Amino acid sequence: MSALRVLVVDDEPDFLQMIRVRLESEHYEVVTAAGGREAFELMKKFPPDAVLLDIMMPDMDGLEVLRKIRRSHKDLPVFMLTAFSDGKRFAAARKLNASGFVTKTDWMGEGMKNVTSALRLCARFKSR
Amino acid sequence: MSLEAVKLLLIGEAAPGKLPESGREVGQTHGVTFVLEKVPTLSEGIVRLLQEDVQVVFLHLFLPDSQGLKTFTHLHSRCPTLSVVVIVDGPHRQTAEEALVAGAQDYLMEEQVDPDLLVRTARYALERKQVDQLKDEFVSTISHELRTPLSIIKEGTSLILDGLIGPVSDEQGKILRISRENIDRLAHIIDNMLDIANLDMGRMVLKKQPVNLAELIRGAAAPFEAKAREKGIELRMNLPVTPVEVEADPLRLTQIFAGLLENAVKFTSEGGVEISVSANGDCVTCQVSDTGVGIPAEDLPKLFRRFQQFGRKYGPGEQGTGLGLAIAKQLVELHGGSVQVQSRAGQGTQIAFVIPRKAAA
Repeated sequence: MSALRVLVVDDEPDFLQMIRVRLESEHYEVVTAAGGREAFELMKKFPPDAVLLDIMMPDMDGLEVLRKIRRSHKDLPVFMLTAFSDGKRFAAARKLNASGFVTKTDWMGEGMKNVTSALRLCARFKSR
Repeated sequence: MSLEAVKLLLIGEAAPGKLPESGREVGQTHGVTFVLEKVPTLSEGIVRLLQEDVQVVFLHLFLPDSQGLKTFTHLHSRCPTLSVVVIVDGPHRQTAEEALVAGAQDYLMEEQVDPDLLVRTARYALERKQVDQLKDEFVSTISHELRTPLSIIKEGTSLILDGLIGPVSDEQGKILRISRENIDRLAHIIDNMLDIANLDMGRMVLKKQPVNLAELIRGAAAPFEAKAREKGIELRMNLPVTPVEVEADPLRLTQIFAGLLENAVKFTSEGGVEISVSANGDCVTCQVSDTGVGIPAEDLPKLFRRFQQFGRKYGPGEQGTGLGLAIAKQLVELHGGSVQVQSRAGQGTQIAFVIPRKAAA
């Protein structure tokens, strides 16, 4: 089975670097984009198996990116990265069929390791 | 009525004869007209507040249907963002001062109330409210802004600790683990500040659902088991055999227990900490008791105040934010409950809270 390709979209370059190391250590192929526009260009060149998408970004809001992704990719697993709990945005993302939510700041828990457990689920589906 | 009118509500009787009839202008200042509504009882006052956009309430603490500090705390828990100025007569100045601690904006002596004083007090109360709001917004924004870099630092430390960057020696690991613990500590403080700001702004919304209390308590206590073992004290749970279900926000209820347990474990060095639950009718009582240092009578009233650091006084080397208990108390009240504390220096502390089993409609 080839490595699962994950596109991570976030406007924090330092965060992208951290998550890249984490995901690559778990043998995912990682593609990163700093915003919505870049994400769409990359999606054409390197079609991802899953997307981790920051829910709040300056250039194009995460929800807007999700809406655009859903136009062409109805079933692509897209996990929303969230810095804090925001009921309204969560509800909007759920309506747009987001696959799940991952908190970036899971202080007391295992931090970004919960991202990888979400992705492992995708990998299982892919290998079926 | 002009557009610039500020609506004031007087709950209770004060300065009869000196104040205008209900619904009339009571004075003007800085181009703003102040209109005073009047109701005689707390229950009528609350109904009026739900119907109308009142900016400042003048609340007599001794009313036909409620007397003393609870007059204020009841109103404050129903309308946490409202500016409230309390009114008392001479012998009850002490009660008014307690209301200030509990969140009242100001107090007036009944004998001195007149239209001019009401208008001036209302104006200051509104200005103070604005400053408070700015402060809360600031804290809230800052807390959010601090979270992102801190989560990056934590993840970086974890990546190294997990050996993903290369082998880590025992010594390096030790230092990094201390760093990560302190990142968690800082994160905890930021989260607490954010909670306090949200509680003050009335933005804390409970997500209530049926909760199995015993299960929740086991989960809430789990993080304290290691600490208790380390200190050689017992952490006991005295839970009812039949499952007790409450309608509550599980996350916030866990936070309440964590706040109480953190303190109990911190201040107990011999004996143990016990969590007990008893259901009685429509309510459930949860108690955390310890055999720790206890709290002297003079410090009891300060226990739930913010940034009270009793730790500095009673035990070395254990710091907290001084916000845990303050938040716990506010969260209990948000659930429609109340907190009681019993303690004596040297004889341990019991903190109990009562919450309704079914959420109010």
